[in-house]
Amino acid sequence: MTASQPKTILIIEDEKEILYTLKEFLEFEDYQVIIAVNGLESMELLKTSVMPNLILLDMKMPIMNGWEFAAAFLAKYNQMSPIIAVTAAADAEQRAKSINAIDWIEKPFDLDLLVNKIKMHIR
Amino acid sequence: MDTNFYQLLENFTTGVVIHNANTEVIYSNQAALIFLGLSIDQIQGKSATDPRWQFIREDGSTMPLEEYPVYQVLTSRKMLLDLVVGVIRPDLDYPVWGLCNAHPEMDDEGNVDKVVLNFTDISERKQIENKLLESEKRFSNAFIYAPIGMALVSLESKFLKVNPALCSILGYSENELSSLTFRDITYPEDLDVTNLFTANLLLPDNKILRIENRYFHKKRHIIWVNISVSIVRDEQNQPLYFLAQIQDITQKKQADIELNKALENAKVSALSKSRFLDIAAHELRTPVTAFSLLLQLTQKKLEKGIPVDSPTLNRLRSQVERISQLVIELLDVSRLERGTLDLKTKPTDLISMISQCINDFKVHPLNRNINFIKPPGKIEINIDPLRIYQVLSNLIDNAIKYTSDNLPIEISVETRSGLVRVSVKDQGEGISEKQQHELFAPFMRGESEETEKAGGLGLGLFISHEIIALHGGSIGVTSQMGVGSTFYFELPV
Repeated sequence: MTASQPKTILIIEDEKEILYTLKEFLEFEDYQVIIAVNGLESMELLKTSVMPNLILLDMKMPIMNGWEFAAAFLAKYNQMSPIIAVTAAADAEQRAKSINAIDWIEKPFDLDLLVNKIKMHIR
Repeated sequence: MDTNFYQLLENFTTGVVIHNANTEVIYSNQAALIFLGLSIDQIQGKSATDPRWQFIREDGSTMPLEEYPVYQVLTSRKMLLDLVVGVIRPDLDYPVWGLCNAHPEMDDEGNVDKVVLNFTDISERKQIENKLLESEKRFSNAFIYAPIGMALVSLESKFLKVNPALCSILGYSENELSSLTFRDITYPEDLDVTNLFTANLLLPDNKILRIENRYFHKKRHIIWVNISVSIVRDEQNQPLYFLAQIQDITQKKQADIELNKALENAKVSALSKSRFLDIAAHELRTPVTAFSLLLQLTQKKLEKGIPVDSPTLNRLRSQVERISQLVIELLDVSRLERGTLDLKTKPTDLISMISQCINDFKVHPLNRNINFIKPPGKIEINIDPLRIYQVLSNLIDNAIKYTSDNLPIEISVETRSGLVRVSVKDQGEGISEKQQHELFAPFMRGESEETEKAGGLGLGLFISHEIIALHGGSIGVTSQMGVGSTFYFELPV
C-alpha cells in the first residue's frame, strides 16, 4: 500500500470501546477510518463520505442492525463494498452468509488476523 | 247342546269347561283335562270348591273363591275376558297358566243356567315373561348398585332413570335430575362435541361410543367424566334411548393437569437457562473483546516505542470492571439460589446513603441528570447498606439505560405507616403489563430494541427483588407506555 492512496474502511459497531480501539488500530496501520454506531448513522455518513473500500460490520445493533444496513446499502448504491461481518454470535458464519459478507470474524479476535483478512479482501 | 257340538269341542285345542248354576262341572273337553291334569272322573260333577284344584293369581298369591271365573260370572252375570289364572296341579311342582274367558248362559227366565269357561294354555308365554322379569330385575340391581354412574337418557337428552352413583357424582337427587337434561349439566365448551357425539350414536351402525368431557356439579364446580354411551333399539332397530355409564375422572384429570404444568415449567425453566447462557456469553464477550483489542493495540504500540499512557490504562481497567460486575452478579444469583446470601445489617441513614449513590452516578462518564427530592433530616433504619445501595444503584442504572439522553431521572422518598418507600422515576418508553409481571423473575429482561441496546444479564431486578425480600420489604413498578416507569422499594422503618 502506498502512502499517497490510503484506503478507507468503514467500521459500524455500537460498542464504543471496541469502535474506538479498532479505529485507532487501523489508523495506526495507515488506513483511513470512518465510523458509525449503527446502520442508520452509516447511511447518513455515506451521503457525504467517500465510498469505503471495505466495511467492518457488527451485526447486532440497535436502530438499524447489520442485516438492515446491508439491504439498505445495496438498495441505495446498487453495489456493495466488501463486508467483513464482526459478530459475537454462535452462528457467525451463517449470519455472514445471510448478508453476502465476503468474510467474518468472531469476537474476541486477534488484531493480526483482522489485518490479514482486510488485506485479503480490500479493494 | 247337541252331540255334534260336543264332538266339535273335543277336538278344540282350547280347554272348555261348563259349570251348572251350582258350580258343578257338567262338561269338560279333552284339552281342559290335559291342561288341568285330571281325568274325566276326577272332574265330572265336582263343584268349583273341590280341593283337587287350586287357583292362584298372576302375582303367585292364592286366588280367593269369589275371584274364580265361575263365581265372578255367576255374580256379575256378565262375560269375563282375559283373566290370567294359575293352576296348582297335584302332579306338578310348578303352576300352569291359562288365559281364561267365561260367559253365562241364561235360562228362559233370565237366570244364569250355565257358565262356559274356555282357557288357553299360556304357560310357555308366562315362562318367557318370568325370565324377562328376572333379567330386568338383574339389570335393575346392576343399575342401582353399580359403582359407576349410570343413566337412561331419552333421545331428547332427558334423564329417564339415574342410579345413586351418578347422583353422588353430580350432587343432585334422583328427582332433581329427572327434570334436567344432560345438556343442562354439560360444560358449555363441551356441548358441540356432545352434540356431534349423540348424532353419531344415532347412525345405524354405531353401538357404543366413549367421550371425555366436563359436567357441572350442583355446586357449580367442574367435574371431568369419562362417558360410555350405548343406544338401545327396538325390534325394528329404531332408537329408544341412550344407556350411559359415567365415571368421575376429576382427580386423574387434575393430576394430568398438574403434571403438564410441571412439565411446562420445567421446559420454560430449561429455556430460560439456555437463553441465560446465551446472554451471559454475549455479555461477557463484549467487554472481553474490548479489553483484548485494547491490550493488543497497546502491545503493538509498545513494540513501536509508544509508551502506555494513563488514559489507556483507565480504559483497560473500566473493561475489567465491567467483567467483574458480571461475575459479581452471577455469584449473587448463585448465592441466592443456594440461600447463602447473608445480610450484614446495621443502623443506617437512608437519606445520606441515597445521596452517596447519586453522587457516585454523577461522576459516571455519562453524567446524567438525576434529581433527588431530598426530605429534611435523617431516616435511620436497620439495613445492609451495601446491599440496599446495590438495589438503588441497579434501579438508577436501569433508568439511565432506558431513558433518552438528558431527560431527568427523579428520586424521591416517602414514609408512611411504618414503611419507607424509595422511588426512581424515569421517562423511558414504559413497560407493558405482561412484562411488568416477568421483570423480577431471574433471566428476564423487557423485550424491545432498547433492552437489546442496554445489554446486561437481566439479573439485576431479580437480585434486587431478593435483597429487598430478605429485608422484609417489597419491590415493584408502575408504568405507563410512552410516559415512563417508576420503580420503587419499600422497607420497614
